Parts: sequence; C-alpha cells; structure tokens
Amino acid sequence: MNERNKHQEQQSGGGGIGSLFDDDEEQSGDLVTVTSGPHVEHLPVSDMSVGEIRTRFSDRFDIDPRSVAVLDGHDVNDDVVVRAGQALMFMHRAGEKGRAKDVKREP
Amino acid sequence: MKRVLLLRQQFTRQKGSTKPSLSALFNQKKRGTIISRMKAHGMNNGYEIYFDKDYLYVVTPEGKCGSISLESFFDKMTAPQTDLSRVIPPKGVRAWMLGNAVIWLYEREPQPYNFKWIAGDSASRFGRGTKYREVSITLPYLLVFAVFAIVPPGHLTLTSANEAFFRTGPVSSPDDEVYFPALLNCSKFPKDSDRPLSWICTQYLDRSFDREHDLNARMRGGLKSLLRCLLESGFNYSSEHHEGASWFSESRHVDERISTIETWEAASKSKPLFVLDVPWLKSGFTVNQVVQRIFKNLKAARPPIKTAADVARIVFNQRPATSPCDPDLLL
Repeated sequence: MNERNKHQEQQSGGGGIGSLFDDDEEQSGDLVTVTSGPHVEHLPVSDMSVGEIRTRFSDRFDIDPRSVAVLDGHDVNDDVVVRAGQALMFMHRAGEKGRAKDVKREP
Repeated sequence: MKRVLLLRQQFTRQKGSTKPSLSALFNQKKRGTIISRMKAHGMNNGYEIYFDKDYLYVVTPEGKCGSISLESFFDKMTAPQTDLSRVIPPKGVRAWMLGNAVIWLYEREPQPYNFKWIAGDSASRFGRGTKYREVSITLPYLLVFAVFAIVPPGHLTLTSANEAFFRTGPVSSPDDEVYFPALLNCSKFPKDSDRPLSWICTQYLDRSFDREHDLNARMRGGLKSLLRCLLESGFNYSSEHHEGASWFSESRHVDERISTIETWEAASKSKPLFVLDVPWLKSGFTVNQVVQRIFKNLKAARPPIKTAADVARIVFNQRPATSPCDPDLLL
C-alpha cells in the first residue's frame, strides 16, 4: 500500500495563491454565480443582462450561443437582468440517458 | 554471474577474444550456438537476466533474448505512465494519478438546476416514448469523479467508470465522507463488487472529445461531455431497469422533502439550501477511499517487479520491440 502511494501523485487545478483556501472564504453577496459546463465562478455581474453576460464571458466560459440560460433554476431569455446572489447557468438540455432497452451497459 | 562468465569463456574460446561484451555474445549470428550450449549445460526453465556494462539482458525459457539499456530500464521503472505536464485541469478540479489512470474530482457548490426529468404520466420508463418535463430543484455539493485511463495504443481518455456523489460541505480533506447522490441514472451496484459505487450512466455520452489529439483538450472535453451527460440530458428509470436501482429511488425514504420530485421542487422553492440539511444516504467511503477503489477496480497500479519474468516483460514490451538477440539495435 505504501509502495502504491509512493507512485501516486495528486495535483490541484486552481487560481493561484488567492484561491488556495477558497473553501474558507465568505462569498460576497454582490456576486453572481455563473456556470457553464465545468466552469463555475462568482462574478461581479449584477445588474447586467443575461445576454451581456453571455457575450462578455463566451470565450472564458466556452458558452455556446445556442445554450439555454437558467437563472435560479428557471429558463430565462437574454433580456433578463441578473441580480446579486443569483445563480446563472448556461446549458444544453438535450438527449436522455440510457435510452436503449437492449444495449449492453457496462461501467 | 557464473553464467555470464561461462558465456564469456565459451565466446572467448570461439573467437579468441579476451573480454567480449554480452552484446556480442547475443549477436544474431551467434545466437543459435549460445542458446544450444545453454540448453546443453542443463539450463533451468526460468527466465535469466544478466548485466553487462550499461545494459541488461534477458533470456526467456524458450531461448528468446532481449536487452535494454539500464537508463531506459530505470526510466520505465520510475517514470509515470502518463505525461500530464501539458494538462491543466479546470479550476477547482483535484487530480490523482496512478499507473495508467487519472481521476479528476470535480466539485460544484449547491445550486438550483433546471433538469429534464421523466414526467409522472410518461408511458415509458426510459427510451422511446418517454415523456419529460422540466423540474427546478436544488442540489447540495455535487462531486463527480471523472475517470481517465489509457486505452490502446496509449491513448488517455475518459472511461465509462465515472461516479457521482453528494456532500453537505465542500471537500477539504481526503478523509471527508461522500454520500450517495439522490439522482436518477446514478446506478447502484453492490459495494463488494468491482463495479462503481454510484455509476453515472454514460451509455450515450458524446465522445467527440476522443478526436482531440491534444491531451489537455481531450481531458477537458471529456469532463465537459460527462457533466453535460449527467446534468443536461433527460433523467429516467433506465437504472431501475438495467442495474436494479438508482440512488434516487434508494434515497426516497431519507427525507420527506426529497421523497418525490414534486416535494423536492417545492422544498427547493421555499428554502433552496434545505439540501444541506438532508441526511443523504451515507456511502461509508471517504473521498480517498473512492479514489483508491476506482484505481483498484481499474487495476491501474503498475504491476510489481518481483521476478526475472517481470523484468523480461519490461524488456520485451519496449516500443519498438527489441529484435530477438539483437541488442546492437539499442547500442
């Protein structure tokens, strides 16, 4: 077991010294949680519209222009203005899981 | 060592040389003579290894010979099997690597989601004819273990052995316990099996990331596709049909507020962070134990080097493969 651990490496992706202890930071109430795929950040984008956020962060968050905007769990259009403390998510709601009845499934 | 001396003596008698190298002894031209003399001297049935100068030589029981430089041999013994030096995981992702496998732990804070969920009046439980509706529910901390492994011919990519869990707080220690995720299509398997504890059904995962030649893009694309499959495609009862149960069905009794998707929606609306108070089903596994279990199931650990046969495997598995008894290729 010790031998195995010796060859095992752990890395951590992160945003530098300032985010080393993100878990311990109090989240500012002025920020909006923006999510797209694996990207999640708390951003000072309150009072901006969904469309403005989509345009401004399209590259950084790899936001597909055809994606649906979901604000606090509800679909919204690009005209809606986002308020501090809200959670905005860009997503594609498509397809389904495990649709074939006779296909072998193996983890 | 006696064997080496014997070989040298034989070679010396034949060629008149005072101190031939083993590479010369293993020369293709002399192979037949040497091997036949080895057998004639009552060679045992095992593998034999020899060192000469900076090379290691192996002879199999069948008389097949191979060699490798000591530098290459020790490189193979100690170097990681995958070079991740040009891979940057997405922010917040923790990574573990063992042998031929890499695990990325992706964690997402509690959030409201808008899922495509099987409708109560759906005629089918999954597949063709299944009717869906949108549901808005909050999830607690969501952990996704994205599992990558090397597939032939040396291509590291996302496997189908990915798992999801819940937590009521952020992960800050490898000893933090994980809870089973009350989600459809997260399948339950017996803990004592070699299957995932909470398998994310990825039967129809978009694998376009496999076309990426760049490892960084391929791994990041794999995680993105996995999250899309988990969170953005329709939830149905295929796990109940194929694997027997999903962790949604198994978790219904733990709290009235999540006993049905309708009560979950209502509770999310009135108090979004109620999900941090729910006594989710305990898995009995910590983050580290899940990681080690995945590595074990994948047989990711490099096989131990204990015997001459193990050394021979390394020598003969070189790319390009060494020609039998032709060590000069490596000189």
